[in-house]
Amino acid sequence: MGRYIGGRVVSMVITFLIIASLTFFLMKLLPGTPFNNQEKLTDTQIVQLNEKYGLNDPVAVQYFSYMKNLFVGDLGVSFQQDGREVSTIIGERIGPSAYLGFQSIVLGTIVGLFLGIIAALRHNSFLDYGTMVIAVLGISIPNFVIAGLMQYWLGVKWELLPVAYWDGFAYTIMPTIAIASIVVATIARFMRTEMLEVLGQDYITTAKAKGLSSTAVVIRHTIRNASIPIITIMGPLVVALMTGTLVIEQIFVIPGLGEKFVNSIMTNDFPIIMGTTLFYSLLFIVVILLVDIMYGIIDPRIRLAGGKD
Amino acid sequence: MKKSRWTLVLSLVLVLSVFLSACGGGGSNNGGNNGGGEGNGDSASEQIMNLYATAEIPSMDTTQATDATSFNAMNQVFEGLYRLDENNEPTLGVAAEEPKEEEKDGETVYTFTIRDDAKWSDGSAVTAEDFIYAWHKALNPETISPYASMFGTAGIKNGNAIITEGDPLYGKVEELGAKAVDEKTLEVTVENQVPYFKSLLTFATFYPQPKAFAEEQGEEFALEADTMLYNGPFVFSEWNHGEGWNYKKNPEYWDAEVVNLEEITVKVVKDTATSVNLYETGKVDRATLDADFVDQFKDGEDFSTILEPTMFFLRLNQGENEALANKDIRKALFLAYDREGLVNVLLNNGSVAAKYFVPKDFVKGPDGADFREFAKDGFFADQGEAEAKEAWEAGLEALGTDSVDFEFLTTDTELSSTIAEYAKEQFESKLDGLTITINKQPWKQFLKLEDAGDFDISTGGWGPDYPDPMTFLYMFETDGAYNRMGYSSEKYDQLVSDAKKETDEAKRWEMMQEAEKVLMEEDIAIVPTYQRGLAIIQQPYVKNYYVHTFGADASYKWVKIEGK
Amino acid sequence: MSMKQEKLDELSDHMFQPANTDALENEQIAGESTGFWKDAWRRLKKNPGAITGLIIILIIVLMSIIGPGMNEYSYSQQDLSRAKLPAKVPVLENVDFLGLNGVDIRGTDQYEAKGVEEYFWFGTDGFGRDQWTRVWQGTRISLFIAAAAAFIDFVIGVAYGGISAYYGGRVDNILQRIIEVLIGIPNLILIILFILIFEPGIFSIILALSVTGWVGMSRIVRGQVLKLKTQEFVLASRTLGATSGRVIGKHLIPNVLGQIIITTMFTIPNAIFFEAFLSFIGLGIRPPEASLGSIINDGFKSLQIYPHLVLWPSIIISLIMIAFNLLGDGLRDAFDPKLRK
Repeated sequence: MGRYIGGRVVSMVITFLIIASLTFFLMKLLPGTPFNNQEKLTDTQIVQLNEKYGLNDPVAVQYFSYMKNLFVGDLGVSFQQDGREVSTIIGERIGPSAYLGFQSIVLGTIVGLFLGIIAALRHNSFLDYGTMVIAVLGISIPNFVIAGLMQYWLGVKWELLPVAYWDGFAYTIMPTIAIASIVVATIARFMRTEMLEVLGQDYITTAKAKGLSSTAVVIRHTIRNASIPIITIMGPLVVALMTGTLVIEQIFVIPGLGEKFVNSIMTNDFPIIMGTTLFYSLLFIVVILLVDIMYGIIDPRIRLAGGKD
Repeated sequence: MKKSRWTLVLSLVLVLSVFLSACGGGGSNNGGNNGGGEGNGDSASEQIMNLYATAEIPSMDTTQATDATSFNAMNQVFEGLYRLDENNEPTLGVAAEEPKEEEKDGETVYTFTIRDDAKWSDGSAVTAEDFIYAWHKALNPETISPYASMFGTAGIKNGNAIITEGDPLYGKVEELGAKAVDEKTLEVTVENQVPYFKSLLTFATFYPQPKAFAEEQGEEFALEADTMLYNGPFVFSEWNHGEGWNYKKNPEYWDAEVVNLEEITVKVVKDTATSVNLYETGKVDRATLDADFVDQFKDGEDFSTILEPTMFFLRLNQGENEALANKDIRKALFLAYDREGLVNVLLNNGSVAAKYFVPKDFVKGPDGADFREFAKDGFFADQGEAEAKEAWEAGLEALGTDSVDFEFLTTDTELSSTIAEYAKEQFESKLDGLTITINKQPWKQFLKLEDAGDFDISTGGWGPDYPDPMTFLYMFETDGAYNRMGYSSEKYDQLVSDAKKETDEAKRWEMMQEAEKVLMEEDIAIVPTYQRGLAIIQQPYVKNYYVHTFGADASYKWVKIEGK
Repeated sequence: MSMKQEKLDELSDHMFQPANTDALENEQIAGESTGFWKDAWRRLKKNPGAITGLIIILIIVLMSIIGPGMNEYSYSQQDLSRAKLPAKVPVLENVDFLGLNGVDIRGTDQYEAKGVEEYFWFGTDGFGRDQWTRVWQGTRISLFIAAAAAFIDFVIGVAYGGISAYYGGRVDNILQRIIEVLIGIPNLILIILFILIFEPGIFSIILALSVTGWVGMSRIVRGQVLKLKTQEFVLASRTLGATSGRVIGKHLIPNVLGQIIITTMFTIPNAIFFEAFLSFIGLGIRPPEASLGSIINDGFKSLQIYPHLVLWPSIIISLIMIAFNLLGDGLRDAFDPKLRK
């Protein structure tokens, strides 16, 4: 196990460096300058500003200086927010995104598991189709439409919840529901499939044969075993949601990372693009590794390669 | 056994819900300052205004800012020698009185006295040295300001030379025609007098910066609310970059007694529907509307429109495209475009159909009349579709073809996409044999393609940098940085460069009007489309909210809340 | 004892017939033989959810073909004098609660107010273009984009996942790390680059969708093949001397096929959504062409004032999503041999 993890960590570092390098060069292919009044700058001014920020150097030089700084943990400063540290910006943005992501995952997973289990236990009945339609409904309407409708009805018409802003629990409810709808669909569908798979296994027949009540079979054997593979899809889902969603953040005025990231790409804010990408991919790689390890621990049938020590 | 399992699940759920509500509770504690005035609104007319901005503040360093949000915020918390008043006229700011003017070797020397009670928010005095410090910083190649060219525009001595690479004065900021005679006396030497000199001094690039404090803060200066000093009507009490910022009345401000507002909250809201919803629930006091919402609000008493001096037009790439080099073809495009439909239905926000290039309600000439009194309804005002078709036929004949393809370059914003779709239909349905292909590009790529001349027709927009028609007219000089369409006319160039040098206001005005006529009527170089309007809803209890035509969007200094 | 003897005596030869000794006939299967596909189809037919999904998909595909031609309006023809009209349908206009009578949410009959005699079944958009034509035209483009993206995902994903799992070890490790790199690079950057290189339009969007779209498919194929390749029947086949090609073609692919088809079913709606997201940030289809996503995005701003602009395309996009999901789930059940009853 130790050797396996060691090997994975080494390859993780390599993967990370490759991502950093590729993103850097691809980003440099984006047209235009990072200055936000570019339409009013003359060519001479652009040259002068590029000079000031070291953007006139060959890309290779910029690359090496970036990587050098990266090793000492310096992500640089933003162009759009003149002079502010990238790490500070990511730091203040990640909080709301992570909180919303976490809350949505908890809510979405609970509802999703519930729907998936019902659908599987009543396989091919109308309850099955019904729960699946409900589960899918959340992802079948673009979530900016769901968000817009909620904001209008719950916020403006019925005045049940605050329209927008980031000021406490009440403010998180609508965005959480909007994001959780995605989680519900994913989890419910996955759970249904896994449940059906498990229900067809021999050990379930054995359990039934030895006279266990069907509730016991469902709870102790089916749900438990069916839940294990959920971990594999939870990993990437957690990363995707924790790092924020542009649409929801924009509509509900949440100062999160998703909006910042898309915006940085549109405005060529190079240091922010790099910083956010690295943060995201690091999180992703680590989560994938954790999932693989956890999977090995929880499910004894799965042995990790080289884990025989 | 079975029972214990269930207890486990139950307690898990409990723990989770406790955790969640704890998180929520924490959140609401730290953000409770907003909307506090709501509900128990008995404490009538609390002097709090709630606003939103459509973007974050990119920079609070007066020498580095380039965007409307920053300039607007700076106008509330800083002050230059002058500030714009209700009528967009410069009124005294930090300057105690109108400057002494002295003519010397064809140059004019202005001597400004800084008022004694002009203070930074830490109580220290605003000095002449603070101005010099900020101005030098803006021109220094190491820290160059994107708006460094404003010094040249203002006619300040050596302003242009210092930022021109290869000039013997390049980078020598101490050669700038501005010096601190003593702590309270600032001497500015102008080599080229412009009538809008004082108006320009209201612009953020000409603000002072607290030298001692800024040097002490170094790189951190103006990055956060507590790493800058304020000398304007308000100070930042809080600045949570991505979320918003709050202003508080500045007790150290020299004119603090006319400032009514105690507090202003600003949140960053990018979605129009959200901002309208916030307005309807009383969370913001003023919101900008787009076409659809205008239909809903236009009959209310809180609705109004403002005409801005921002022009939109189509660039015709006459330098590269053979068909567009033909004047008849350009005339056909100019006339085929139905501007009324655009402004009344698609924009529907108080925008005005424009067949002219220098906006109306922008500047007044020496005789006190609006520039737009000249060719009041624009050029070719009485011609329309029939003349367009005629010109089109003539153009095609001259080209010896019966079909033309144009690529229409536009950006990825909603609005420019709408305008492009409308233009395509307008042109194609009225001009036989014309095919328009829309090329929608991200903003940065749009600029790159436009700059490279890689388009046939492109959407252009231009807002003024200073209150003078020249801020529009100089764009289309031959090889000008903003020409971008290969337009070249000796006559036009001559008129513009003469007007720049002319000191007799009346003559200068005539030259500029003549230049516009050459551009629009003789050469039909561009197809102007509309002058932008702004549809807004504003709570009736917000009084004296003054909107400006250039520089900062608005001044909050005089705003008061009455009858809330 | 004697009794037994007696009984035996009673049995005579004529009471017996020789058993059929033809071994072949013994092996004869009385029922019609059911192949993989036939069996799957038979079980799919029994699944009302899947069939409903299939029918909805067929109707939507049909409408996307004939819908735009059903009235005299074109998708690009503008007329600002009839902009933003709500839906109005002959006959159904008399049934009030359907809201198909041309009255907007503020209670004004917009057709009367604007003096329009014609009927617009889905209303008109901000340019006065017929929404019916645009919505079906958009459905056509959205489905095309989705199908193309699904096909590319299928080809790359199956090959990549199959190779990765079948060869395993170092190959697998390297291929999986490549995937991590691909996922790590923000694909919005790639999309913008595609739009720059190939100009905005359907082609760039499909390419953009395909860059990382196949990753999901490859992971599923890999997972399945990894599971299958160690199973007894594969081992048996190998022992009997089957080549790699035969093992892959005859044993692995057919067993993974169910999963592949299901994943494809889910790729299609996802692709439609991703295109809608691109429209949201302004990088979608080239106007005046439209996709479902771009129509919804255009209408979204006026959700509160002219809901019909969002309502109709949203209903169709939801139907597509639900139908593909129902069909996908049904197919999954039909293809899974373990669920055979």
